[in-house]
This record gives sequence, C-alpha cells and structure tokens, in this order.
Amino acid sequence: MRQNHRFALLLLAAGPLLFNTPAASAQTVELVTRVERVVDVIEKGVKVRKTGPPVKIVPGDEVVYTVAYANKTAKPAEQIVVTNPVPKHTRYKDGTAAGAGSDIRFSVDGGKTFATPDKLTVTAADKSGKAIVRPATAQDYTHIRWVIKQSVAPGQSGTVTFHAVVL
Amino acid sequence: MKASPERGHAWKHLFDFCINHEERTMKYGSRWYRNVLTGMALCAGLGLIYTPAALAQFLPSGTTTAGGISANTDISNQATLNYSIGATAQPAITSTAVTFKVDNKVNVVVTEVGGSATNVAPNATGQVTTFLLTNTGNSPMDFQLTPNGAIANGQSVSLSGTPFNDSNITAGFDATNCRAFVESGATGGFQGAQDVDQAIVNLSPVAPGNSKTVYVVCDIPSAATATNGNNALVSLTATTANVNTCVLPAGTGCVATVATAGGDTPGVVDVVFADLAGSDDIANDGKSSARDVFQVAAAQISVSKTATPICDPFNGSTAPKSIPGAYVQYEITIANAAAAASATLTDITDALNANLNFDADLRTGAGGAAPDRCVSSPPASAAGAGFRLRCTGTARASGAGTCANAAGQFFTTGSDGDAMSFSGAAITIRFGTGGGTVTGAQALPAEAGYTAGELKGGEAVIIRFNAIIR
Repeated sequence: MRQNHRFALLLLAAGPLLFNTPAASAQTVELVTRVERVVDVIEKGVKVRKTGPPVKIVPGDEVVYTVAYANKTAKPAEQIVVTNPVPKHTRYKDGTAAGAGSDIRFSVDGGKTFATPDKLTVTAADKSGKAIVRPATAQDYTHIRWVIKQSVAPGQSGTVTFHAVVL
Repeated sequence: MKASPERGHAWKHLFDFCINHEERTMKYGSRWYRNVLTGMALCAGLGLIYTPAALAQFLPSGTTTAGGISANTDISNQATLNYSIGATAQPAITSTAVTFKVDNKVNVVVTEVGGSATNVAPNATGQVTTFLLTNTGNSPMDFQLTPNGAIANGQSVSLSGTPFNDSNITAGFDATNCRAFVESGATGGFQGAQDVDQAIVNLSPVAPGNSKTVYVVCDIPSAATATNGNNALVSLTATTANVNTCVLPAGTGCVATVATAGGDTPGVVDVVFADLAGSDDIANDGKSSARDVFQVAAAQISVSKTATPICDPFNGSTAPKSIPGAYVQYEITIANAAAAASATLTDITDALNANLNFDADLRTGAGGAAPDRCVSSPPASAAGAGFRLRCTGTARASGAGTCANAAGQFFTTGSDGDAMSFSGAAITIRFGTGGGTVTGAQALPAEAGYTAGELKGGEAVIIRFNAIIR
C-alpha cells in the first residue's frame, strides 16, 4: 500500500537533455524537474523574455528551473515540501522563486534551516577581518524550499520555479 | 632574498612567471628575482620554461575564470520532495540530477595602449604602436593576430578623447609593411632584436584572464606622401583560434574557432561567441580589434639670412649707405616650424664675401664720432665678441650667458674653442654634437628637457654678426 503512495521524482530536461521517464507504475505521484534557458528577444521593437531549451549556456546566462509535481495516487498528498539546492556554480536570482499556493523559504546554511529572506543573516568578515552579521542577500542562498499549503488531491498537480544565473 | 609579502606566494608567482612571463617582467623584475634572467633560469631549473606549454582544452571543471565558470563544467540540479499520505510521513524522494554543460564562452578584448598617436618621420622604418589583448572568455584559446596599416581614408579613431582621421591632409597615406609582434617578456617595451627575433606572430595559448602585449610595427612612406599632420591609422585584429592549434613561433596552423551552429549538443562543449564589436569587427564574431595612429611629425627647418646696413663712416647710423667702410649686420635665422618634430642641429658654416671684412667687435654703429662714426661706435657687448646668439620660442634656461637671455649670448670672434669662430673668410658655428667639420663647445648644449643641438618645433636660433665693406 505504501508503495502506491510513493512519489516518483522525475527529471525532465527540455530539448536535448536527458528525460527521465517515470517508474513503470501508474499509481504514483510524479515529480518532474526541467531547466530552460531564459533569453531576451526583440520582437517588434520590444524586448520580450522567453524561455527555451538549455542550449549553449555560458557564464552569465540565466536559466529557469521548474519542478512539477502531480499526485497520481488515489489519495490526497499532504504536507508537500519541495526542496531544491541552488545548483553549484550558479547563483539564485533574487525574487524569482515562485509557486502557487506555497510558502517559500530560503536557507543560507546549506539546507539546515529555512526562513523568509527578512529573517536570514550571514556572518562575514569586514575589511578589518572582524566578523560581522549582515542581512543575507540572494547570492547567499544555498537552498530554496516550497511548502505547499494545501493538500494535493488525486489527479491534481502544481509547479514551483526559480531562476539561477550561471557564474 | 628580500622578505616581503610576495615571498609568501613565491612558488605560485614563480609558476605564473614561467608560464606567463610575457606580462610579468615588471612585476617579477623585482629584487626577489634580481632580474629576468635569474627568473628564467629558475623556470628552466623547474622545467617550467614557456616553450610555450600547451594548455588543456578546458580548465578544470568548476574553475572560476575572468569569463565566469570554466567551460565543460557540469551544472547539476536535484530536487527533493517530502510528503505525507493520511498524516503518515512518506520517505523523501530525491530526483535524478538534471545536468547541463557550461559551454565555451569565447570572448576577447583588444585595446590600444598609450592613448596617443605615435609620432613618426617620413621614411622611418619599424615604427611601433602598442596593443593589449585579453582573453575574457572561460577557456584557454589561441589568437591569430592580423595587423592592418591600410585603414581606409576618412576612417577615424579616438585616443584619449582626441579624434584622429586617417590621412586628414593627404589622401592615400598608409603605413606599410605592418607586422605584429608579441612582447617577449625579456625586457618590457618593444625591442627590435628580442621581439622580432622571437617573432611570435600569434598567441598560443592564452589562459582566461591573461593579457598579452602586442606591437604592430610598420614603415612610413616617403615625404612625398607623408607630410606633417598626416595620420595613418593602423588596426590590430585578434581572431580566436582553437587552443593549441597555432604553432609557434611562425604562427602557422591556427584553426579559427567556429561558433556552434544550431542547437545544443548534449554532453559536448559548444562554442558561443560573446565578444563585443571592436573597431574593425562586429559583435559575436570571435574577434576583437582596436586602432592606433601614426602621425607624421617631421622637423621643418628653414634658414634665412638678412643683411642690413647699420652704419657708414659719414652718416653713422642715420640712413647709412653701403659705401666702403660701412657696417652691414647679418642675421642668420634657423627656425623649426610650429608643431614640427624636434630637429638636431649640428653645425653651420658661412663664407664671408671677399669684399667684406669681419667686425670682430660687433659694433652697434650708433653714437660714433667723426672721422669714422662706425669704428668709433661701441661694441654690442665687448671688444672681441663678434657673435650674438639668440633663441626664440624656447624653453631652454634663460639668464645671463644663455641663448634664451633676452639680450642674447655673445661669443668671441677667434677660433678659441667656443661655439662660434671666424677664421680666414669662414664663419663657423657649432650647435651640437656631430657634423664633424666644426670643433669646440656647443651653442645649444644638452640641458634639462633638451638634447645637444635640439631645436624643437616653434623654436628658432638667430646668429648676428657684422661685416665691413672694404
């Protein structure tokens, strides 16, 4: 019975990237992650943000990660928490984490603790080498956590996203 | 060995020096290394000497470079999900990683060094302009160097805010025989012998963030096409080539890097051109370029001579006539045109006409008494001082006994070792060194801001002496 309730965590890479097919079980909750490149294109003289396959990504490029979950079990899934580290060699782009019906928290300590941005601080050395505590900025974030506030009914799904910039 | 903060990083510095010594001469020509040769000997001893060493195609994964994270770095992401069913916590699920590869961001910047035009004279060979090439990408790359002295007439460049138009006076003036040389590092600045002998005309390889000094060396056409104020623009274009393809020193074999067309190839490092437009190339073409200027600034010397009667024996200085016994004042003016390059004067000789005698005392011609009003007029300076020298427009030191003195500088008449003499019928004046025909002291000696015999643009020297009509 418990096996039927297991989420299958998928990793979908758009375009040519690997696509992880779900485990061959119809009675699961699916989790799909994908990454796309964010590009600015000029259309009719207006700059438009678009996303596309993560082709030819070089330092400074912005990518958007999308984590999609879908409850394919017969029972509601509750207390869903999605945790995603800010990928190594990237930095989180401030203000980009989103997810309908979720509370978003960040960690600056490698995922040990999570809080809203206004409550996060980091300890750093000032010019004289003295340790000081300062408010955390987006560059300090190591993990992002989405707490889905409502249970997800069978057959229902949702997504959470964030943007990162390649260092 | 000097104890200094440098010493703490001595090995790293030495390694950097050995690998990148082109740009390290000043930094490492410090007391710690004593001199570059010692540094190179250390490199050789360590087997680190730059031959040049080939670099791996990509830096180690995750290396932070001037152009961001190094190419070939995999960026992986993995999400975790926790949930409950019916208030029972389920085991956390960790996704498989989604991964993409950081591609090769090709970026290069060429800049002009110095911020001013290089002044050249017509027919000058081996004239030097200086550029700096920096690999601002995220991988080591080679660079092909293409100098161009034939920038089209009317093209322009701005150096330190000053615009220069190509050949703004004479159309068709271009620098010729332009070649690119990479600073060898043995001695900073362009040394013909060092930098030409090594003749590294292309670069292989240049690590991200590293810079190389490149000289574009050209010849200047003859005065027929290159006149003062003419500008010949030159450019240096660096084209990115695949790392380790250029064979040094000849620079052959370079394989120009090509941006990857179409979509991404999974698991393969694609090439993306991220360069900005240079002076002579467009954005995103894997190239960078900059311009510099050769400006013709030759010396323009003119010599003029005037003869003015200043006294005759009967009328004195009042409306003197050119009769026997009359004094004629000669002035020889040697001028260098404004804004022209400095000239170096050596000497000048002037033969006095057989019908003239030299006035050994440089008399003024005024205030004399009968019967000969000229002979009885007073000397301009003192008896026996037959020459006066004056410098105009000069920054030479002024004061008594100098040419910049408002009253001029006086020289004795005879051949007595000073800069001016009269002997036989010949007047000889020695300005600086060389020349060979005149010996003695120098009328325009070396001093602060001046070399011996130097006559800068806008300056003139005026020599005055008197002759007496027989």
